[in-house]
Amino acid sequence: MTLIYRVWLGDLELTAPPYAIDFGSDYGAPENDFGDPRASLLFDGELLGDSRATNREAVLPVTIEAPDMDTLAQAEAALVREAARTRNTLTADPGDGFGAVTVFDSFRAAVRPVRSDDLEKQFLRQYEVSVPCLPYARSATKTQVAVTPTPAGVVVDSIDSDTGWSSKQAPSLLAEDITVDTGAYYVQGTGSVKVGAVRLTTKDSASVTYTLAENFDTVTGLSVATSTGGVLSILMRFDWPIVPDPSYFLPGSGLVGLKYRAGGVLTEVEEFYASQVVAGTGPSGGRFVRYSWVVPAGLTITELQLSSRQFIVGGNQARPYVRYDAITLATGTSTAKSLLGTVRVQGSVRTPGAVVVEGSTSLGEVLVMTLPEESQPTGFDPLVRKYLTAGATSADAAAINGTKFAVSGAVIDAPLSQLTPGLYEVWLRAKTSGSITFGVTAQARIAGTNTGATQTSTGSAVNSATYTWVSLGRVYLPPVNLQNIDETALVRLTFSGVGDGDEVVLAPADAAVSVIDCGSSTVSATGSSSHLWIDSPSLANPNGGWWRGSTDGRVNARSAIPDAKALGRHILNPPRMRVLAVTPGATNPSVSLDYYPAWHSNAGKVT
Amino acid sequence: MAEVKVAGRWLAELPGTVTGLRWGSRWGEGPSGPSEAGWQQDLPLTTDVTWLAPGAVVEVFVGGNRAWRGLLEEPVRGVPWSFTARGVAGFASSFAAIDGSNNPTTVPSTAVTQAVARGWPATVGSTFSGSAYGQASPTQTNRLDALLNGWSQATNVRWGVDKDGVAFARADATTATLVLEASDVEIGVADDSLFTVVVARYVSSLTTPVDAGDVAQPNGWSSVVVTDAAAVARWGRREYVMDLTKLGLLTGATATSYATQQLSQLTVPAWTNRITVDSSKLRTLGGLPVDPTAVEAGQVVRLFGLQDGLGRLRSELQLNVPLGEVEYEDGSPQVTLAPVKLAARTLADVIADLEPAENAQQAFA
Repeated sequence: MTLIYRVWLGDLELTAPPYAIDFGSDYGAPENDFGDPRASLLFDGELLGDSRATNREAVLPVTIEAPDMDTLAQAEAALVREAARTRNTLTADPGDGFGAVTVFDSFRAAVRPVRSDDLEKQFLRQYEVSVPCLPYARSATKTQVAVTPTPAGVVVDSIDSDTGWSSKQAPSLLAEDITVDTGAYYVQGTGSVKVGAVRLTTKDSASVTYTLAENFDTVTGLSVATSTGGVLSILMRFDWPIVPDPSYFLPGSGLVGLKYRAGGVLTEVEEFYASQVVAGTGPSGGRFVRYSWVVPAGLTITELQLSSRQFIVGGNQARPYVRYDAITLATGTSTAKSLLGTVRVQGSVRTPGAVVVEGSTSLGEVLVMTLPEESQPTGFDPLVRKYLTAGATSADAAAINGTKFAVSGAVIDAPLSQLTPGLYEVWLRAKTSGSITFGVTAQARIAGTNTGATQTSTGSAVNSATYTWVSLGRVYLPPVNLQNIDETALVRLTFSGVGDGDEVVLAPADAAVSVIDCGSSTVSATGSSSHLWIDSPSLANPNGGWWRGSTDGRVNARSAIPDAKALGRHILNPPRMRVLAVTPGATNPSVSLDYYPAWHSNAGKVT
Repeated sequence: MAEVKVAGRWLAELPGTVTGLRWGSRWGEGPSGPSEAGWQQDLPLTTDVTWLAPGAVVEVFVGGNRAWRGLLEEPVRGVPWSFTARGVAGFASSFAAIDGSNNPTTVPSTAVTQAVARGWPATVGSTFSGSAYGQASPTQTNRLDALLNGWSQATNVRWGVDKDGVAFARADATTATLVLEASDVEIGVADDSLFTVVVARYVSSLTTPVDAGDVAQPNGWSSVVVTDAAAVARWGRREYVMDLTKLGLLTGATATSYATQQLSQLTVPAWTNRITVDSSKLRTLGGLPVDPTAVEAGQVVRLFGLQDGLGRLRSELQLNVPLGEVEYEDGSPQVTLAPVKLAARTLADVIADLEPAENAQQAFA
């Protein structure tokens, strides 16, 4: 088929008369800039850390053809005027009707004439146009995507019997092992269905020997009506760690593929999210991950096909199991004053964008956190007040949780299986009478016994009679190095300082956190705000931007920097971001991302 | 990524990007706590930002937590603009040690409280002594830092203003929170200013004034000698001459106490250089790499693998030393540090040591 390749520098099309592009265009490539290698005790080699990409340079051979010399000169002038712009775009349409248009954000271009007397006789002039561009390409249009909340749902199938369950079989795979677990691990009803992995593969990478276990499970005979549509979810528990192991680059265990059959039609779920982790209620508890996906209205789902993977360090491992429980349908809206969700980011490389938080009333002191989903275990939940085990509580309508707890001596036992080991900033929402310094001490706790070194961090003094966010500094969790963390491993956080606490957020050091006070009174353009926009550093905002306002479209939005307690530089990493927004002033906030998907060199189609 | 606030306003309000942000703290003789910070910012040359004025409070935040606090010095205009700030403790040299009636005082808590009331930008902790350091002289007004330096050396505490703006005086911490594997790190010890015996001379009696208007004069002096037997056995006898006569009348017990506290600071050898370490070398007690933004002077580091005789002095297998200097540049995985009592080896350090001796000098009319 014919390719009709088209290129524009700004508004000037370089593939339409009098301009033409010769063969030999070079769009350059970004380089990785690692900075200095990290010092280490490795006997051989260097440790290269995070890198950033450097600008690329596109070099385009442009020819101008015209009937007379003056037209040639005028065309050259138009080209030079376009090239001289400080900021511009270089746009390429690959030309088969299927490939998406690719845009490079560019800077002032250089035009170098390549004079040849032969070509002058033919009324042709050649130029080499060098365009310095930002490293990555982007799509031509912006994408908006909303973060899907997880409202509380109704259990539509409690999965208490193994009827209809099967795991994919072939002679070379492990024998099927499906039972009902009524004793050890389940969340709801009388038990869960326990399915053994059918394939165990030991792999040797350069750094570690690990084992991969796979499940391909099917359940038939369901009758789940989606009624008016909403969010459907299933609970799954993995024997092997769901925590990614950053030292060996092992991902955490989790669901990798999901299909459902309704009305005879098998549909693949393209986007499912680990939305939550739920503690089991059986004798030994156990943590189940809730996987959610959006379903359309009017279906009756009869079958689910689920494939999952588990990873563990070491070879010769015993066969692990996956447990399933409680298919739940959620159709209502949330009444929470926070939103925790996962959102898909399209593109192949990280991209700047805007995080938009909206509420129906003024937002209060907002805490927004974004991080790449894969840097934390499946279903990572940074709100850890729910793990409070000591500390008197009482009702308080001003608290986002509805109740407050006494901070001094409060103990939170957060599960380590929910946290990638590393540095965390601890944020406490609390109020005081008088000037108080809050602090937190962390210690690992395994099987009910505190173990290992402690880490303590205190914040600066705070004096606030209304709830406010306080940073208690950063601690390493777990405070002592552990490996192959299981569910009995907790980190005990003990708090000090006299005051009333509402919520505790554990923010990984590689997450971006912004804390901005949008006011709690009536919403107006000059008063409290119901909308908050946070812009990543980009060509338009090289330092990033924080804006607050009262209406969509950023009408009369004003800078929120003076109201910020922490300024986060949020960047959007494909394929998925985990987003937390706590809005003490507004229930059921909506959070969305607004961005250009970014690509390495050629944009893909955006869905 | 750290952020800077000046006069309570984020620098992110301004158009230029902040680059090269660095901050440091120190612990030891002289003012302790945040010491210096600096950054560059790409602002237009014609910038006239009134709140970027000398004396404005500068705060460095890592995430939501304050990591450094001090006062801005005169910005240097250029491409880019260059800013430096100094810790509040260093500005004690700009305040007099006087009481509420503007008379000289040698009571540390009074001097600090009154300096704060007159505008020293700190808040008062409760850790300054209420006892006079020597007798106050009616004619000699000391600088605040001179009084605090002398008093802190004689009572073996360190004074300063911390990153929350609270003025403090406390002894070195003894519990290690950091671990440094020093076997292949180039750091050495020196015996500069190493002493094992203190000989102190003090005024032990005064004349009795006869007529009204007469002032008591010193008419009897005594010496006290304090020895650290273990240090003498290891290093030999080295005597340090301490002149306490300027403090006025002292009892034997007080003079002995001052001499003993001073000796404990002198039996520690000095270190010859600063080292720059990565989190692979500097770890928490739990074995985890240290967060370089959280390392502060005054924290105690446990040194392993140091090849000299210090361990033998105290029968320890490793050595716990407070950090005397910490410097960090934002975004770097490394931190530069020096243990307490860094010997002057670089020209900058030698010149810093040449500044006038800071002793509470009393004279009697």
